[in-house]
Amino acid sequence: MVEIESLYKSYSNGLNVTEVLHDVSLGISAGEFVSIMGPSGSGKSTLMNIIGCLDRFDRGSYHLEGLDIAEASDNRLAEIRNMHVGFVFQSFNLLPQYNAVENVELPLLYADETPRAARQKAGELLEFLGLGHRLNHKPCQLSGGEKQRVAIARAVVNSPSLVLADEPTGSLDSKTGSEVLEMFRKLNEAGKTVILVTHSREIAEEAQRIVHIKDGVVSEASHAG
Amino acid sequence: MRVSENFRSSFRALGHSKIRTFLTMLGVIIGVFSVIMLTSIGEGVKQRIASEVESLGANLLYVFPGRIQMPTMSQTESRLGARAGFGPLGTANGSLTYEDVLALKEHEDISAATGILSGADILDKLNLLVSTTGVDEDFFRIRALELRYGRYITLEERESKSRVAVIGSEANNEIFDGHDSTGKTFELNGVGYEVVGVLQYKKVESMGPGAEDLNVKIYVPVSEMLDRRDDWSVGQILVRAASPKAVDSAKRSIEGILRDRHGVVDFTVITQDDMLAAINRILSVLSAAMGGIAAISLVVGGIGIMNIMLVSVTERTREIGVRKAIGAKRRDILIQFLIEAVVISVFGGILGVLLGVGGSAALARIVPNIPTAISFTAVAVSLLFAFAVGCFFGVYPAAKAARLNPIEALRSE
Repeated sequence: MVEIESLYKSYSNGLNVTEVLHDVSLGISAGEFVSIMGPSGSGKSTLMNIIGCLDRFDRGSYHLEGLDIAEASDNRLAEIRNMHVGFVFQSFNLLPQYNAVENVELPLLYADETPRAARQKAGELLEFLGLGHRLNHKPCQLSGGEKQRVAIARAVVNSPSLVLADEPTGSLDSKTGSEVLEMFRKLNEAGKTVILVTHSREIAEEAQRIVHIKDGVVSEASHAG
Repeated sequence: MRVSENFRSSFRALGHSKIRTFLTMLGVIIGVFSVIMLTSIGEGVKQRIASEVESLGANLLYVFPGRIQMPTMSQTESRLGARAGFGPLGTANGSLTYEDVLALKEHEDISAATGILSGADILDKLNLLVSTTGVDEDFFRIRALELRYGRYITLEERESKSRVAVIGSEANNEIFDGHDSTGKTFELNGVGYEVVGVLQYKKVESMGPGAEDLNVKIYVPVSEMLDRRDDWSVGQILVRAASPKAVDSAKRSIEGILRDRHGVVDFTVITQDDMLAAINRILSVLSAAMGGIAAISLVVGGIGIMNIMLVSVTERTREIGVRKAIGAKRRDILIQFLIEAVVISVFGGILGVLLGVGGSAALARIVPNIPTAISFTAVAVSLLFAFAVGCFFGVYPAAKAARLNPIEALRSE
C-alpha cells in the first residue's frame, strides 16, 4: 500500500535549510493499522503529509498503491487525495459556514458526483455514524466528538483505501477520544488501511504496529499489543 | 467540481458577508449607473433633435449663401483636410437673390420655395428695436405654422410688396393685448402695417431647430422688406422638394439652376439629412466621451473588487487548504474565487442598469428639458464591460488562492 524508500525532505526559510526527514524508508501493507509516533518536531506530521500526498519530498521514492507519487502532477495529487486518501485533523477543519451534511458531501462534489447523489450518500453515512439528527447543524452547533465524527465521515465518504489521522483525539476529552479511536478500529476492520499520527504512547498502542520517528529518522518499528 | 456547484458555493460565500459584498458591488453599481445615465442623456438629445428636425418636414432643403463645407468623416479625421466648419447661418454676403427664389419656384422638383431675410425695425408703439423676418407666401406652408386668427401672407401681397404682417402670439399679446388683431395696424419705422394673421402659440423647444421662438416673430413679405433696401439679396432660401424621394434630384436641380444664374458656386445646398448627420456626428462623439469618463468609475469599482477578493483569499486561506486536502484542484479553487468576483461585477452591473434606466426615466420626468433615451448598445456594452472588469480584477486574487500550498494553507490562522 505505502512503499517509501530513502525519502528526504527539508524546508528552507530563506536562510537556513532544516532537514525534516532523513533517509526514511517505510512499508505499510493494505489493511494495516499503524501508528506513527514521535515527539513534536520529529517530522511525523511531515511524513503523514507526504503519505497523504499533501506535500512533496526532495529525494527518494514513494509509491502509493503502486502509483509513483514523485512523478504525479499537482492535478493528479489532488485526485489521489480525493479518491484514495481520507484526512482527519486534530482541529477537525470543518468549513464553518457549511452544515454537517454539506461538509461531508464536499469530497464527492470534487469527484464530480451529482449534487443529489452526493447529498444522499453524505446523509446516509452520517446517519450510519449516529449523526442523523445533526445533518443540518453547523460545526459551531456540534460537540467536539460530533465534529470529529463529521470529519471522519468526510474522510471516508469517497471510500478511500487509506485513512490518515493527525492527532485525531488531541482536541477531545478521553471518553469521546476513545469513541473516536473505536471508530478507526472499526474502519480498519472494514478493510481500510489506517495511519494514526500521535505523540502519545497510550493512543499509539491502539494500533497493530508503531513506527517511531525522531529527528526525521524512523528509528524503530515495533508491534504493539 | 461541477460549475453549478462552484456557483452555489460562491453565492454562499458572498451571502455570508452581505454588507461587504454590497459595498464592493456598489462601486460597479455606481459605475454602470453613471454610464447608463450619461449615455441616455446623449441619446435623448440626439433623438429629440432628430425628431424636431423631422417635424419641420422631411423633404426640406436649405440654401445658404457662400460655400459652407459640411465636415465629412474624412475631413475631420485627416489632418490634411481643409479646416472648414459649419458656417454661421444666414450670413448674407449677397450671393442669393430674390430672383433666384423666383427661378427655383418654377422647377418641377420643387413644390415650394421661400427667401428668408432677417431684419431689424423700430416698433413705434413700444419704441423698441425688434427683429422682423421677410418671407414668401410659401414659408408658412413649408413650416406648417398654425394660425390662430386671420390668414397667411398671399402671393399677391408679396408681388405687390404690400405692408402686411403675420405676427406671433407673444407679439400679438404685447402689441394688441392678445385680442384678435386682424385688420388692425401697427407701425414699424413710422409706417403702418396691417396684421393679416396671428400665429397659434407654440411651445419653445429647449434645443435643436425648434429652439427658435416663433411667438415673438413679425413676418412681412420679403419683397416689401427688400424694397426698403438697396440690394435684392436674401439671407437664405428654404425649399421643399416635391416629395421625400425628390430631395436628391431637387438638390441637384437647385445647384444647377443657381450655378447657371451665378456662373460660380457661391452657395451651399444642405438637405435635412446632411444637417442631421452633422449633428449626430457631434453628439455621438460627445456621448461616447461622457460614457468613457463614466467608465473610469467602473474601473475603480473593479479595483475595489480586487481589493476585497485579496482580503477574502487571505481570510479563507485555511478553507482553501481544507478544500485542497479533500481533493480540490487548482482549477476548482480558481473558478470558485473567479466566480465570486464575476458575480459581484455582473450583479452590480445589472443593478446599475436597472438604476440607470429608472434614473434616466426619472430625470426626464423631473427635468423635462433634459431628454433621455436608453440605448440597447449602452446597456449591452456596460454589462459586458462590468463582466470584463470582474474577470480582469478577479483573476489575480483567484490565481493567488489557487496557487496556495495546501500545507501552509492548512497551518494558517
